Amino acid sequence: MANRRNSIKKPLQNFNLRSYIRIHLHTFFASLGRFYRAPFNFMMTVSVIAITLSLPSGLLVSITNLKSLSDQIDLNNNISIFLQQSVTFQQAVDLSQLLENDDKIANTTLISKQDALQEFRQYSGFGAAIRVLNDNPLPHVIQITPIANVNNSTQLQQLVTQLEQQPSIQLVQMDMGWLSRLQGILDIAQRAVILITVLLGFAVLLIVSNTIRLELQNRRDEIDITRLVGATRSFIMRPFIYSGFWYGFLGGVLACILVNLSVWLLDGPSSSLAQLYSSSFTIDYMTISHALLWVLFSILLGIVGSWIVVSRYLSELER
Amino acid sequence: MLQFINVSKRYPGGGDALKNVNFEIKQGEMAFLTGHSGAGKSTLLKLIALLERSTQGQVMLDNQNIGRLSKRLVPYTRRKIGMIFQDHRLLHDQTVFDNVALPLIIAGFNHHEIKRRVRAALDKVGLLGKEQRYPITLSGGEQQRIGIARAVVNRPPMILADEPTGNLDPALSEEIMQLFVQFNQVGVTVLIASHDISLIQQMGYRTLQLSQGELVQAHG
Repeated sequence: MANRRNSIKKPLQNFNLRSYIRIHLHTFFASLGRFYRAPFNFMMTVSVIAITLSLPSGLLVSITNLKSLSDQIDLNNNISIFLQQSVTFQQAVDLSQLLENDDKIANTTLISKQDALQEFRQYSGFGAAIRVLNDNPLPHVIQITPIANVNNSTQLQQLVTQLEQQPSIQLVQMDMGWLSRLQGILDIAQRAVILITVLLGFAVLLIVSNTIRLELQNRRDEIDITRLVGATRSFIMRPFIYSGFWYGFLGGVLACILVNLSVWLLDGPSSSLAQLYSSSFTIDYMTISHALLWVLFSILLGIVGSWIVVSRYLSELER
Repeated sequence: MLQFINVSKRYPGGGDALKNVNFEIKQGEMAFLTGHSGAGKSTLLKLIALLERSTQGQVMLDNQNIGRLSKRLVPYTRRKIGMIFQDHRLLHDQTVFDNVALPLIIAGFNHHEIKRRVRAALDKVGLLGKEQRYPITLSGGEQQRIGIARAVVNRPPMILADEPTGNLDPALSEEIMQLFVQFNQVGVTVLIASHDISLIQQMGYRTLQLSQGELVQAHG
């Protein structure tokens, strides 16, 4: 009976860290060697993974950029008041003064017809067309900034309604309305990116699983033979897990390269567009920490995808 | 070393592959297993190699009932048995060296030790100098020698061979058999399944004969 105990060497009794590391290194290079022998198939799978992942990561970069753009815009709740065409400059000055004294309004700026036209000519690109006009079609505008504690939308709405009742005022426009709407849209888009990431992450998992499944079928004999000469389950699984790792790692890195390449391609046109709006906006590249997270995510998907397939396959063999 | 106690094997949907088989092979012994195709030779070997498990009875290896072994320990048991197959079962995309080294790589030997042992094993089977060749470039007899080198490279106490001379001409068959005799002479227990009756009789070792799943006679 004592003999029975000792007759089969237990894995932990002869566990040897050096031979463990040696086996790992061996499979590590062996898996790379396999790719070297079939580079086309390998690159195809890596590219599919990269393109799949570049969609959510690219969207995320776009949203981050739009967010930073909307943050650059002064977030004071400015209100523009467009006066009737008939209102003279003096009347506009008087109204401006009157509004300045209102305790809900922090300050006012009057933009006269002439200044507005000048500015429009300069920035709109319609300079020539405007010169044709006999009359100045623009009204006087008063820009007001409400005091800091008038900041929620109900209070602002009250102020707007109160202003609209004045006969000399044609239109009251809250400048920031569109901005908060944009930010709302961006918030939704960010949620959508999370959903897309989950969905496409699942797709990557399936891509890796399917590739590894084909590889398993191609190497059926090899698996049978290694089992016959005493390979443990983990010894057989290891090369496939490494394959999954490489697919994930290179797919993730290529995805980051694709996204940053796109940013680079858009950078030129977007900064000249920004100059037209006299903004110093430039598109940001993917941050290093984001890139690292995407690569890690991709590696995780590669490893999990291959692990699922190989362990299922081996469990069927061992039955 | 190896003991079958009332072993039966029934495949689901099929008949009895083995019926109440009893025998013992002592440490250092060499024996043959004969019988017609379908007599149960392969099934018997599969039970020892743990490719199948018996439906009834006990298969004892080194006084251990290997039929009861947990899945986790199966690979470690297989390492104690060198297995040789009629169709060689070599990895054709790997060199002779890598084929023979496989059991050592699995067991985690260091590179130096692997090199030494593979060369020793290839020397024994007369293939030294062909390490970097691919199996497909060698003859059938040489391929079988690669299989034998792989089976003995980690010095297992027991060798199992399933029709090792099945595809070889008589002269080559005898050479292969002589190799097994040499291994047996240094203390390895050998069990060879073969239907080459004349060769077996000429060699004069103990013979276990299977017929329709039953052990009918044991010579010697």
